[in-house]
Amino acid sequence: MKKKLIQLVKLGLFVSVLVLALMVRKKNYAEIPIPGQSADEYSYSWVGLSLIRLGMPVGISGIDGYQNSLFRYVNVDRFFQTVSSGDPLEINYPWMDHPPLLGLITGGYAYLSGARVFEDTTTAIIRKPIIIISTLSVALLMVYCWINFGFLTSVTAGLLYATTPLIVLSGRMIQAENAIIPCMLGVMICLSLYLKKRENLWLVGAAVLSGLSTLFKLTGVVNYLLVLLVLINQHQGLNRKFRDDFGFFLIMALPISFWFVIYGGVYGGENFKNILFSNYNRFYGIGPNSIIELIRNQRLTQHKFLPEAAIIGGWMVFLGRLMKEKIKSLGLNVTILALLAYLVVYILFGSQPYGWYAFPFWPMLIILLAEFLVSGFEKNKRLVPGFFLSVMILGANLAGLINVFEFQPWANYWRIGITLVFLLLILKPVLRVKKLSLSRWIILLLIAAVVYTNVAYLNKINLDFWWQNIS
Amino acid sequence: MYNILMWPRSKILVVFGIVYVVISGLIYFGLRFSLKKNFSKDLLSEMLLKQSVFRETTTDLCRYQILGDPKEKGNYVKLEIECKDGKKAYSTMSLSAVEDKTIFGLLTEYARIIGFDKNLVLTGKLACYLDGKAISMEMGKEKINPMVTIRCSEK
Repeated sequence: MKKKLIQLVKLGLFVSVLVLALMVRKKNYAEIPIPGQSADEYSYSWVGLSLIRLGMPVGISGIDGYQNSLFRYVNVDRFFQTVSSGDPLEINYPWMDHPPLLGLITGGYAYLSGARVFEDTTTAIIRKPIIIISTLSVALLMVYCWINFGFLTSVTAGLLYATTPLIVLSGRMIQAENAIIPCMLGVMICLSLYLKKRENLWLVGAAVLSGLSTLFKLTGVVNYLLVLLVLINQHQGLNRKFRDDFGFFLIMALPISFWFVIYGGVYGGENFKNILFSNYNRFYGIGPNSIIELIRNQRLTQHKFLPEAAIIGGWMVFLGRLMKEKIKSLGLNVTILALLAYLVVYILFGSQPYGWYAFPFWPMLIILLAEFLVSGFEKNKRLVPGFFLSVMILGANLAGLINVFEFQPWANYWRIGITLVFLLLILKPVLRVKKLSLSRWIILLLIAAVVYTNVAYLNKINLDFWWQNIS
Repeated sequence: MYNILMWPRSKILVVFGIVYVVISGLIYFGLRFSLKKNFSKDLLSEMLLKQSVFRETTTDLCRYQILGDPKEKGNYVKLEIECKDGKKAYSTMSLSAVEDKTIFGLLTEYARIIGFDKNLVLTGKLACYLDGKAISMEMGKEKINPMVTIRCSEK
């Protein structure tokens, strides 16, 4: 009875986090990020809508190799009156920049909502499915953490991923990365279960999701790399066990990815090939400083930045974990390998430094951060770095909420408070205190404060705040 | 107990193969059929240029303007609208994005983008001048040259 009740409470908390995730994503979703700051959002939806109505994918491109180009002013959401650079849109068909699955989801939803022409695809309509998808990502992230690290990590990671402002805002944007994230988390769940239980159908799940993720964008190939790295890691080399598993995986994943080729073939193989090569030769705008840029600057679009201490904290934990020679935990291994796999894809496929290229790093970084905080907290270990990370994130959040002059009446409380706690944690071994539950509660409270300030910050973001404070 | 999760790989591959062939066939032939049945340049043009039912039309011609300047050099037209209340709207339109390259064609396209009634232009309720020369009904049907300025004011 007691066990059932605990399960019920856990389920209730799980659902509550998802409701919170949905609510913060939904608030002002059609206005922030400003419609038109990324025309890709419309392009994806137009591809889906035109596939349904015309049988031909039509979208915005601008890369070389297209046979049919048109310049037009499609004034959806009146973005020629708000954020336009003055250039008409370059419309191309058959549009082959990316596979069409995301377009079919958002464009299909727009069609079902009554959209028939391109101007009908307003952000109020087309962003709804992506909000559901990004909430699904929160759910998958929590399931993954629950399977691998336990319930407390699951809730902590879920709350951080559900409320971190940059992640929330990014989760409203129609970008293929937002669809690749749930596929990646799904693959990680399937791999964890397969390696724990050895049931074939989990490997099938990983293969199907890996194949599907490449139908959102070719960078979905990250899942192939992830499976490859995890299987090598877990089977300890390229042995027969590895070959059996990876061969079985490829037999199912590759044909699904091949659907993009079949699709391209319908609209002419030559056009498909031209765009594929043109895509390959894109300008490498992320440059040689891409890795430090990734850690230092958190972007939403190409020119909009929203520094996020939780993500920087995740990078710090990631680098710390890499320094450890052997990691025993399966969950940690899979998360780190997922991050490394996407890092390889980011460096290889990178073009302009658009913010969305970095989106898939964030769930992994939040998982690593939450696991670090919670496992330390549970084992009464690593409380000093846990405290340092929590205060770093909370401090950044507070600075976003109140300016430095408003903070002055609280400055002494802050200075003395964090110094005292810091001293308490440092002196714990010296004082030979074996169990100090107070310090654990402090860290738990700090995490709660981070989540609260995240939501408070999100509540502040409206159009005025966006133009004035988000550079 | 029968457990689907424990299916042998050979069985999984047979089921997967059958499902895969069916879906692939549906994708290929479905897309070809849809393309043949639905695609037309008229419908494409309608989808690109028809004004949305969700976007309001405006009677205030100076409320909106096309921001920025097109990068393409030497292929634009500048538009200035002066309203009764003294407000002004300035826009620059790329000619490459205008299908009907007559003076009225450009003004009609501008009316569509901004969302006002094109009849204001076509019935002469706006007084328009092209580089200082009044635009008559005949002149409106002439081809427009790039880099000219059209000034219109409400009568």
